[in-house]
Amino acid sequence: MVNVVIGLEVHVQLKTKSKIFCSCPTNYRDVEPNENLCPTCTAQPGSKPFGLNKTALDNLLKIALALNCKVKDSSVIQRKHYLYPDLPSGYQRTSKPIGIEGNLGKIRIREVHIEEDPGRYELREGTVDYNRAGIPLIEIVTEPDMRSPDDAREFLDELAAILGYLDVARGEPGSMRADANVSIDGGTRVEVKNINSFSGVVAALAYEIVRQQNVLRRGGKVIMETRHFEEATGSTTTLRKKETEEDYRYMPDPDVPPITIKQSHVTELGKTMPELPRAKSARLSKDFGIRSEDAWILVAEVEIADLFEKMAKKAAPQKVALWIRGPLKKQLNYRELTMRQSGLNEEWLSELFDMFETAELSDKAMEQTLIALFDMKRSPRKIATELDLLMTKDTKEIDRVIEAVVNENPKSIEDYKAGNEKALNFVIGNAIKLLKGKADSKLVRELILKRIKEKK
Amino acid sequence: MAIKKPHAASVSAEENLHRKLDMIDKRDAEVKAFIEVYREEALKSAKEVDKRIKDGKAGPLAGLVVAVKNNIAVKGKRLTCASKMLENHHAVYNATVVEKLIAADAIIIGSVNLDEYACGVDGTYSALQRTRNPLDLERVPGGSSAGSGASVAAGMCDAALGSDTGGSVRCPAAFCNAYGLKPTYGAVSRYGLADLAMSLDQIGVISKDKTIMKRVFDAIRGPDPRDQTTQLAENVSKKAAEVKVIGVPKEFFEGVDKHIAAGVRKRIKELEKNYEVREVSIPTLRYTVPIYQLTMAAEFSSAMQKYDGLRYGFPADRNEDLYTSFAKARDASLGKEIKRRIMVGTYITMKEFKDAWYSHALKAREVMKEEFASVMKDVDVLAGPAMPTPPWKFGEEMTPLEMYAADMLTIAANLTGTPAIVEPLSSDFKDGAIQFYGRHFEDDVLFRI
Amino acid sequence: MDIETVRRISEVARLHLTEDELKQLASEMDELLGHFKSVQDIKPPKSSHAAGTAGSSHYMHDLKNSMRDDTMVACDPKVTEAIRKEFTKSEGKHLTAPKSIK
Repeated sequence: MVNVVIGLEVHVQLKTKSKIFCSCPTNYRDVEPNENLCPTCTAQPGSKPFGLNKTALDNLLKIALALNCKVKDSSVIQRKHYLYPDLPSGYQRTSKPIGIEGNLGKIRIREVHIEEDPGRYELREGTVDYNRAGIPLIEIVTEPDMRSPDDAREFLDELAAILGYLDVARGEPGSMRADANVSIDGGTRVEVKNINSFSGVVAALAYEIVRQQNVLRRGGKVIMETRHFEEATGSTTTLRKKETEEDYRYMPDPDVPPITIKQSHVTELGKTMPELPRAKSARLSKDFGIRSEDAWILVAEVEIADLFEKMAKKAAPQKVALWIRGPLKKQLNYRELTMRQSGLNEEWLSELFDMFETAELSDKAMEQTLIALFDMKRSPRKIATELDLLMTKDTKEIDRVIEAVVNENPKSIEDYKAGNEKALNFVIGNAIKLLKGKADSKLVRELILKRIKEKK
Repeated sequence: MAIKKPHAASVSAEENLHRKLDMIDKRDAEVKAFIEVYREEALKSAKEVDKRIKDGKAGPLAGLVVAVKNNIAVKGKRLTCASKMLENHHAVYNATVVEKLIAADAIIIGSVNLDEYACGVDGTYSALQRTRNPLDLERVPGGSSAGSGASVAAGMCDAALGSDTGGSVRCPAAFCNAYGLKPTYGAVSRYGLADLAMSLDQIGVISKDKTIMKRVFDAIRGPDPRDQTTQLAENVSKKAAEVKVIGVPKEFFEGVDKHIAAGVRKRIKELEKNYEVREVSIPTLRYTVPIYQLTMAAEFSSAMQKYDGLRYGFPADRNEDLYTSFAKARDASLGKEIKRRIMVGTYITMKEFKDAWYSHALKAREVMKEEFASVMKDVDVLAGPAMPTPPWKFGEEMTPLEMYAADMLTIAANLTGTPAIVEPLSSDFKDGAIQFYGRHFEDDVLFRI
Repeated sequence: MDIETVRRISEVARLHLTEDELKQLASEMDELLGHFKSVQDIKPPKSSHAAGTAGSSHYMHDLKNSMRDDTMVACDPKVTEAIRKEFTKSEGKHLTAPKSIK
């Protein structure tokens, strides 16, 4: 068993209309390269930072509160000096800690602060796009309290959920990045940068742990260095040959007055905060009697939790929970949509669920209706009727089809009798096909077995 | 809005401009104050301004010809900072002060020379051209706003904008025998002024006419949302400040040329007729040069980080690795003094050396501010010489330290943020100039002495 | 000031100096810093704001805030074009940068 120690520095783009120190638009993904630019965000000679974006700071304060941080009375924007193509000024404006000593579950949060995003530098192509330069970022620094890639995944999942609830983050791909620090068996700490997604974090950590183990196994030493995560290969490579730490020559930025934060303002913001995932999960579990692991899955998105609460008032909560985390989530994941983005409402979904529970729709028909619902966005009953998916109520027709498949598939039935379950499924499948999917598979199975018995 | 006629009200804007252009044609080949003359744009503007004057819609600077130091951005024009690094860079925007000049109907006649990146005390560090003192072509015009002082002295403009970090407006004003103003820190927007030292820089004005200098200052001052340090600036001073007591720090006379010291003391004696004059002492004034050099170098090394040869300026070689491409571009295009200051500034802010140097400089600066504040409780302005020597001749070798020492009387205004004005003592620049320091945001008071 | 220190400073400062330049700078910096050393002699009086560790200001003002409302102003395409035109090397709308890190 190897002892792993992991710390994360998570960068999240804050949701604002304009950049942190200028009024340029923040829709950097929707425009051509180098279009959202001004003298300030491209550090033209003579340019200066405008006032700090109020909304960016408020968004950060909400996150700090959600992470149980103490909020400081004041902070200062510093210049962190290094030269890199994506950094227009040759320094990054980054603040001293604003929130400190927080926690997310068992993981302690050392501090959170605000900083400006650099532009996008594609090393392999040698291109730079400054549209992103100046987008406000929150950096969340954890203590090295994580002990495995799974710990990291849990932490990031909950963080993502919180950000969704607060609606303070941009949420586009690449808008949440992380640097990971990992060491094994009390050894040297390695930093891994350039991880552009939360799933990347888990992959990077897994790779890095194995790499370090291999180094030690071969009798080598793990060098303290910064490594670069490559998404495509899931591996980490050496970024900087020198191990000496870069001297950033931090200096308060004389062009930006210090930030004062009134506690009364923080308290006011606190009042506007929604119930957060952890609290909501506990409440749903308690009030609705569902399993805590189901509750935890439901609270990942506030819209899903809200959906559950509404539906569970009208139907059996545990069944609703399983249906949401099962068939509904499957469709959302497949389309890479959040509940909010899907455009589906509780009215339709309750109707669909109800039709399924009352056997008006077979499980397959329910799934097909759900799929159609994403595009057609109308009453499921209307959709199912239009697509002719409603369970057939014609018992004569069902009996006729059962009779037919039993007669036409003697070999399969023999195989089933010999112990091959799959053979029976084949027969059931045929029957459902002939019934145009409008029959419940469990019921069909029952009837086929009954017929087989009768035929003996 | 009442129409304020230009000072030279008897001539039209066009006529005034022609006179200035004629002077440029006559003398700038030898003075070399101008980097670029905006002849066509200026002529066009002048015609338009004359029309507005006729229609009674003219701004407060209508028809005044102003030159702009070439570290202040004029949209579409070269912003060279007198450096090879930016020799072919064109500004993509107007500095706030330029916008205000245009809105006030001033005519911007062109860009004028400076020491490279405003780092210098006599104009000789410009990487582009050598500006000469129009009053004596063998002598330096002063720096770093060398072209600002020279163009004013040579009658090529009515006023010139310069920048002052340690005396760079006041020195050329004194050497070129003109009035010069360094406003209170934060009174004038620095948006569009290429940084030397962010907490020391201010844009100032030079003119042979004190009234014109005031009018230009009034037009360019005021808060600007694009420069956060101007929040306390006012468009017109609301303070009804008055001068009653003039303090004369004894430290201001240490190491000053005898003739200049005598001239300044004589002038101060004359002031005794209308004001109470007292001797005061500000001990940290003896340390101005080191406090300034360290503070300035640290901030300058930060300000210069943006020049990596990618977004503008001298191009970085894309075939080298990142480190080499940046290092070579910077080294090839920046002058010796620039490199020296970057090296000192980098050194004193490095983790292992910071506590011995930068921290001390910051504390010392704080002490100086407190001493000034304490002294200025009892006196309204301070008086003393502007420069310790008259302008020297080209070729008189000066070590960097000697150059830095020339700033010793002007620096304190930048370190403390107080406004300062220089006034020629006579029509002979060799007699020197007197300098007055005021309290924060009491710039207007300086014009009334 | 030894050459190695000066070399290290030049690396942090990203200046590509020759051996001769390094030597010259070493002696120049020695001389300059020798003169500037006197700042270490200034001892702030106890009553001074500068006496404590926090009492040294990087700011030339007492301003305590500079917040701005989150208002977006569309970019002027002529200005963004001018900015791109200033790029010392570009391809299409992208700035071209070196392709290798040291």
